[in-house]
Amino acid sequence: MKKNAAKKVALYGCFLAFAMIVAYIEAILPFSTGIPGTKPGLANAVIVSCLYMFGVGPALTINVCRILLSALLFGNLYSMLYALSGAVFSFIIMMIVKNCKCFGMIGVSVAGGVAHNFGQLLIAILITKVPVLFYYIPVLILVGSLTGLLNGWLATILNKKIVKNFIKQENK
Amino acid sequence: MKKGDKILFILLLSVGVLGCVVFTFLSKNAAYVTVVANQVTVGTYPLHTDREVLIETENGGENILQIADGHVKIISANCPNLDCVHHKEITLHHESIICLPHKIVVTIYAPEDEGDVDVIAQ
Repeated sequence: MKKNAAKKVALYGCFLAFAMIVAYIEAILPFSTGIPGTKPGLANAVIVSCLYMFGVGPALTINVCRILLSALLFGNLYSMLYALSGAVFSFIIMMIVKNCKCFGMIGVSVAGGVAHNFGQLLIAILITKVPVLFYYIPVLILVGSLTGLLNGWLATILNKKIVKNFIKQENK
Repeated sequence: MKKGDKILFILLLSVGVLGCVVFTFLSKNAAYVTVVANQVTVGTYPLHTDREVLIETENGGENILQIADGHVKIISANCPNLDCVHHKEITLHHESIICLPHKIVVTIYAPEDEGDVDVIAQ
């Protein structure tokens, strides 16, 4: 049992690092649409694959740790608040969607992407108290569903490769 | 890809596209830009006059707003993440730029909105 726990810690640590480096690379790429929130959010692909591989608890831990560490390393209080609100909101929605049998990884990811944007917009409205920001909703739904599709697809590939090549082999 | 995935994706995508189209269709000619800092309107400026405005907030925020040819953008700020500076220029009714750390919202309005017309006349 103890050996298993150590293995788990190492594995979760790898995924945490993976999610962070993906987000970091995405942040330094010179790609911007000029509208905040319209980024691919590739780290969510890692989180979705964790959700399927390890379950809710580990995936949530990895997600929260990722945001706290990223904020400490590269960000500030506001970027953390922003990221955390989006992430928690999207995680709750993804959990609910995952429990419905009619959705697969892509559905979970799409719902998560849209929910993430909603969560951030909600925080922006709460902080600034300017309700006119609701005009961003269509753009954010559009972007969220497209990036969700991309991330879901990536997560599907990730899970196939990783489970096939590493995790199953180790368990033998 | 499960069937539910496809339905969800197509549904959300079409809602998004439809919403964007409707909002663009509804948008009127933009006339002026309003600056709200910490829930207080601190300034309203017509779009047809080019100018640069320094927005100062109580918590030490200094953002410089630029109006040029009807385009509005924030050209510099002393906030930590600079999301407002990286935001694209805004030109249309109801488009806005937000600086979260300084609680500044810059929004473009059409003339007939919210009775703010008087403010321009002042």
